[in-house]
Amino acid sequence: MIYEALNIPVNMWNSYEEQMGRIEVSSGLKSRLSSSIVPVLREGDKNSYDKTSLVMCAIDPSGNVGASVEIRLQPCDAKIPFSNPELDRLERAIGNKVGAVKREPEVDMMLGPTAGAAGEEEIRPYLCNLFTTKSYRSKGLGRTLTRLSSFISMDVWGYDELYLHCDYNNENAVKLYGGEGWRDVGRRWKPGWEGLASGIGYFVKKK
Amino acid sequence: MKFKGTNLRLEFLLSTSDNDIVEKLTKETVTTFSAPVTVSKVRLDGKRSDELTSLAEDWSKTTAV
Repeated sequence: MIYEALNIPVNMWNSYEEQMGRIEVSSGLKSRLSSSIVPVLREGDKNSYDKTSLVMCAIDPSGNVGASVEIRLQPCDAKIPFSNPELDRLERAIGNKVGAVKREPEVDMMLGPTAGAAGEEEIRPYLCNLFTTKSYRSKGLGRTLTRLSSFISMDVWGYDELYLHCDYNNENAVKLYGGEGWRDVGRRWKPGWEGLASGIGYFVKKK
Repeated sequence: MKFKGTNLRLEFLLSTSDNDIVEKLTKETVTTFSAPVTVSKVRLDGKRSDELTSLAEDWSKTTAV
């Protein structure tokens, strides 16, 4: 009886969290598509980098998204970004005050650390929101979109690096990225409130 | 873009103020990947806004990384 009673507030909280998550992701995406990416690409403009983005979608004949990927522009401080740029800046500012960026000497040696990654404050392309709908999985779309992101970042935009986060518990993703030449930078963003995110790898693909 | 075994086409979503890089992006991608590419200029109202909301919902249901 008591467990059934507890289910009510728990379900209400889960529903609230889900709704808030959708709103945050949706408003964040729109905010990231609100400014021109050109000044950031040409001049490394650090004032508007987080209001820019490139989203690529694989669309079926009905107009539905079969797969997608996004290239954001981010400092190379290993911070997992909020969807919303304002929240992300706020958390970064607080994290910088407490020295959140840490070296991780015990990175997974299956992939191995990479020397020569960009400085923590440098702006570089960041791959995120790689997503494939169930009906289009196991067709190589994730690999193709990852390669396309590398191509655009390096060959079209002229960067020599592209970054992403990958959870080591996601074996398929680790295998995919490892096979494509991504390497763990061995840098982590640990402000003290990172929780389970501390175990997530920060990977770089170099040209 | 080689979406082997699928009927998918590639679409770019960019800020409306980035029209000048769309052509280069499209041309180089098509040349390199032999992809059927269409370009969407993102508007923050109307139908496109609804599509972005739908895309964001897909993302919010999946693991973050």
